[in-house]
Parts: sequence; C-alpha cells; structure tokens
Amino acid sequence: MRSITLSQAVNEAIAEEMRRDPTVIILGEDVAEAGTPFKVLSGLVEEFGTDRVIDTPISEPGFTGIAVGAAMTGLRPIVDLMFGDFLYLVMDQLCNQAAKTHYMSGGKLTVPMVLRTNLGATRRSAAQHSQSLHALVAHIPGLKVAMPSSAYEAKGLMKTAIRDNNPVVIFEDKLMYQDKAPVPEEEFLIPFGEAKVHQAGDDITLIATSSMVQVAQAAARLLAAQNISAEVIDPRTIAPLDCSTLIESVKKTSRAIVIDEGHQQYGVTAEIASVIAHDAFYYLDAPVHRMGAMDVPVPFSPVLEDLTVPTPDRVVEQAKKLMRGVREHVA
Amino acid sequence: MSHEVLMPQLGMAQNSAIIVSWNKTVGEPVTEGELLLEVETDKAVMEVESRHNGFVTAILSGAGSDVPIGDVIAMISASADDAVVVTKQTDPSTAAQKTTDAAVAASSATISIKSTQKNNADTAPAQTDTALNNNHTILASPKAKRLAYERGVDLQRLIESGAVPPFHAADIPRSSDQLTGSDQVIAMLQATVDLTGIQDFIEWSNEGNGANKGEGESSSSLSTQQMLAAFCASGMPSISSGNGITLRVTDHLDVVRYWMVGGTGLSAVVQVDNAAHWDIDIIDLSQTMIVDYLPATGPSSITRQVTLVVCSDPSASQQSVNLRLYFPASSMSTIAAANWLQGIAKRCVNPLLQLI
Repeated sequence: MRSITLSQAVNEAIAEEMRRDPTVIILGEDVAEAGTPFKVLSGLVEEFGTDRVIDTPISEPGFTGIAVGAAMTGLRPIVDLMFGDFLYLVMDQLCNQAAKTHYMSGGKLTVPMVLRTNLGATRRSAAQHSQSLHALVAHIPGLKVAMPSSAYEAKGLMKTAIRDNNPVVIFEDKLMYQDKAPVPEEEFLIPFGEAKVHQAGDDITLIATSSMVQVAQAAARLLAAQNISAEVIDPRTIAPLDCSTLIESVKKTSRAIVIDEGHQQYGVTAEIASVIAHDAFYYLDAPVHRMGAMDVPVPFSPVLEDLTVPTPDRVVEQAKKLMRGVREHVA
Repeated sequence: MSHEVLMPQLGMAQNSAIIVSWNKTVGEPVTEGELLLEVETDKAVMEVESRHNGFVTAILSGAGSDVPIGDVIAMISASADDAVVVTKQTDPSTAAQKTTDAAVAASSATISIKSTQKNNADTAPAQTDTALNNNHTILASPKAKRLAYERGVDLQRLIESGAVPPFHAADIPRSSDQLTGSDQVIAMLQATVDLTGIQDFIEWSNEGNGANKGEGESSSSLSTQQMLAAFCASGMPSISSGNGITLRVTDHLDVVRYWMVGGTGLSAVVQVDNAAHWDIDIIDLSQTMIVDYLPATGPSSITRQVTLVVCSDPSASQQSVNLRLYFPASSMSTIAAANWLQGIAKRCVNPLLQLI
C-alpha cells in the first residue's frame, strides 16, 4: 500500500468529497492560492475555483458565522481555522449556533458543517499558537469531535465528517502534517465512535488521542522490552466516545493510562478515566492514571515547552509504577 | 435485662443475609455503637453495630449462616452471668438442665482473628460499608477485593499469613483453601436428655401394648436406636430428596446399621443392609468410655454430613445422655437446627409425642 503524508490525506479526502458533492465548499484565511500555512489545501483552488475555495478576511467569527448560515441553507461548508487557539473567537457561532440549531429548530434545520483546525505543542509557537483545545469543544452537546492519529485516520475521518449532518470539529496535530502512513487508494470511511486497537496487550491499557498515539506506541515498545505487554487504543473520536472498547480492554488488563495533549485539568483524560473507573471498577488493580499537558500556558522556551507534554519515557515510568502497585493514591 | 439482636434489614429487596463473622464472642462486653458482626447481602458486606451496652450472652447463628431478616441472632444482657447459651468450652454443669442448651462453635480461627483485630481497632463508629472485603480498613485494589470476595479469601487472614497491604490481584490466593486449609464451619448444638422415657415406652410397647402389635416378629423388638432414628427423621430441615431419610448409626464403636425412614410412624423405620448415602450420621458412644467425637473438617464432601453424637453425661445420672448435633453452618440455620434438636430431645423424654 502506498504511504502518504497526513497533509496529503486531508487534501485527498476534501478533494474527493468536493468532486462527489457540489455543495461542499471551503472557507477560511489563506485557503485558496496560499493553500494554508501548512500547505494542506494546495491545489484545491485550481481544481474547484474560487467559488468553492473561498479566501476570507481575517475575521474568524465572521466566516464561521457565514458557514453556519450556509450549512443551514443547503451547503456543506468546511471552515478552515488556521490555529486551534482561534477557537475562542468562534465560540458563539460554534457552540451557541451550530451546536444547538438542529435541536432548537425542532429538527427542521441541520448544520452539516466541518470545522477543521489543529492542536499540538512543541512547534515553538508560544502560548497563543500551541494549545490543544479539543476538550473545550467536546464539552458541548451537539458537536462531534474527531482526532486523527495518522494519515489513514485523517482521511477516513474527514470524509465521514463532511458527510455527517451535524457540526463536526476535526483537530489535526500540526506536527504530524508531514508524517507518512499507509493509506488505501480506494475509497474508505471511518465511522465515528469506533475506537481502534492499534496494538493488543495484556498488562496495561494505554488510551491515547491524536499524536499521543505515537507516544503510546513508542512507550509500548519500550515496555515490551521489559516484559510488560501494553494495549494501545485510539478512540479516534472523543465525541462520540467508544466507551465499550475502552472498558473491555481495561477489564482485561486491570490498569490504564490515558494520554492526551490537552491540559490535564478538567480535560479529556479526566472524562475517559471516569468512564473506566465507573464501568470497570471491580476490574481495576491500580488507579487510572492521567497524562495531559501541564497546566501552564505553553512556554516559548523550547526546553520548558518539551517538559509540558507527555513523552514515551514518562508513560513508561508511570506504567511501571502501576504494574508494581505503588500506593500513590492512599494515605 | 436482656436485649435481642435481630438480623437487620440492610437492603430494599432483601429477605435474608449471611453472617460473615462475629466481632464478639459469648461473654465479651460490648458497648453501644461497637462493631458486633458483619453480614453479607447480595454483593456487599456490611457492619452491624451493637445498639446496647452489656455483655454478649448468646450467639444463636454462627458465621456462614443465612438468617432471615428479623430473626434473633444474638442476645445482649446487662450481666455476663445471664448467659443462656454457652459455648462448648464452658462449664458442663449448665448442660445438666433438661432444656436445649445451644452451643455454636463457629470457626474458632475466624473468631480469634476477629478479636485480635478488635484490639487494635480505632473504635471508629460502625458504618454501612459497601466494600467487598469484610474489613474496610484493609487496603486493596477494587480487583483484589473482588477476587478475594469471589474466592472466599479473608484479607485479614492474608495479613496474618505475612502479606503486606495494599493488596493487588496477584496477592490474592486462588482459593481460601490455599490460605487456611478449609473454610468449612461446623456448628454444634447440645441437648441433655433422660432416656428413661424411651426405655419405659419400649418396655410398654414390647409387652404388646404398642403400635407394633401383631406386625410380626421383627417389629416386636423395638429398639432405642430405631426410635432415635425415627425422632431424628422427624422435622429434619433441608432434606434434599423426597424419598425419605437415610441414617447411618454406629454404636459400640464398630456396629454399623442403616435405617430408612419413610414416614412419621415408628413402623415406617426400616433397617436396610447397606446405603451409599445417608442424610444423618448417628454415632452412639453412650456404651463406651469416649465422651465426645468431633467430625473432621475439611474440603471434602464428608464434612457436609450432619452428625448426631450420643454420649453419656458423666456429671448426671446413668440414664442421662448428651445429644450433640454437629452440622455445617452452611447446611441449615442455627435456629432451624435448634428447633430440630429440641424436637428430638422432647421425643426422647416423652416418646408419645412421636405418635401425635
């Protein structure tokens, strides 16, 4: 199977869906000739023209609001939000309008909109361009949240998102755009709410999202060298969340570490850990451990920035503690 | 002044609960609010605290008993001298009275452990505890507690065996047998009866006045053993088969007879040559120098046998014997067993009751 970059996979997914469905359009800053700062959309304006690949002024609330209205009236807009950090600017359009319209119109209106944006630190982009804010969005009922962990997931989830009749937010890790992975040439879709078991194991479950799946896989390899068998699971969408796959895995392994690049406090790790603690309680042999980004603004100093995110070494360290039964949780 | 301790209602849809362990033994002082026992409902073990100050003067249901809600399980009295139920180790003179003296010999290992545990308890107020192990102060992972519960492992005994908490799944033995050899709890009840009544009845019956008149040679010689078999078969709780009751009787140490009891009348008691299975094992030691016999405990099925030991009472008259009923605590409740033994004892004193 051929390997393509995550960036190419997103590009392919959008191009295929735009060919398939003429109502699919793109809106955003520098999406046309520039093809976005990460060059993800390069070539699309040449094929589909400026009527469907629309450069907008620098006004996130403005073009997101336009997209919500366009979605209500029959189009399937893809909003390109250059940095995930700009989500704060579009909160009303996304959370008050897009998320609630279907419900408040009694089902008469739908908002089949995709908002694609990114997350991830360690790109030396400082505190306002390095945040991972997916938990903020996943908190809102009415929004779906997909988090591709490779080029394969990026393509399959994007195509599903575009065809979904609900507003979907896709977070791509901005450090993964050049990462290659095998992606079939034939068409495929990845259904929402279906976790993927990347690697089966018996001793501990590592649940990881987005680029943290790579961290978990690296940790699993290190653990295997120490005779600890780790199972790596990628939920792929955090809303909806595939609880049963996670629970079944933890029932088997009795231990879990949840790894996510969002801030740890009140984050995705907390939600997943609580699901496990509740539904797999009598199978747990150790507390569910959470590893998120440090609860600080992302530092500009590279040395400090690297300390704020989970790494394979730190996952291994925690996994070994859980295996030993270190009583970190009791007085 | 005595207070009854009743099996409490601990859940909405709950008819009975199993006694996990007693924190007190008979004769021990107890204060209001102190942990008295632990009971198990559906999936949870809960603590029951004393509601009175005083002394535990009776424990009527041993560990392992499944007791209906509202049944009396113990007595608490103002004075330790009020003991109405004595354990096996106490002064035998109290057994001389012609009432059913009950004794509950629950697993002594469990009781001694419970009492050492009490000594270092922080006298925290007893509370409803939904933890799966039988002591909420022992640290263990949820999985370890679940496995301990499923495998019948007492975490306190795990500590006594040298293991150090907090416990994890790997610390829990495959079964409680690995830890202690056996968890089988044998309870014992004792009644003292005068057999003069039986002998008078047999004499009267064999003179041609009894129910067996005219039924042939074999039934003319009514024996004490046959009558005891009939008494035992009457009202025995938890009989599995409907095909009557089989008894094995051993007397003079090596004479074994098998009796089938098909009904309540004395003529329904028939001696059979052999039996592969019997419901009650009667060991008659009254004609020997041996004063007691305790059935062996162990994981094999023989320990599930209900055993009645008949032995002479050296402290009483020649015609007086002790009837000791040993039964697995899991096979019947102590109340049911006590009622049963009471029936046997009453019939021994007045055999005519059997005919009513």
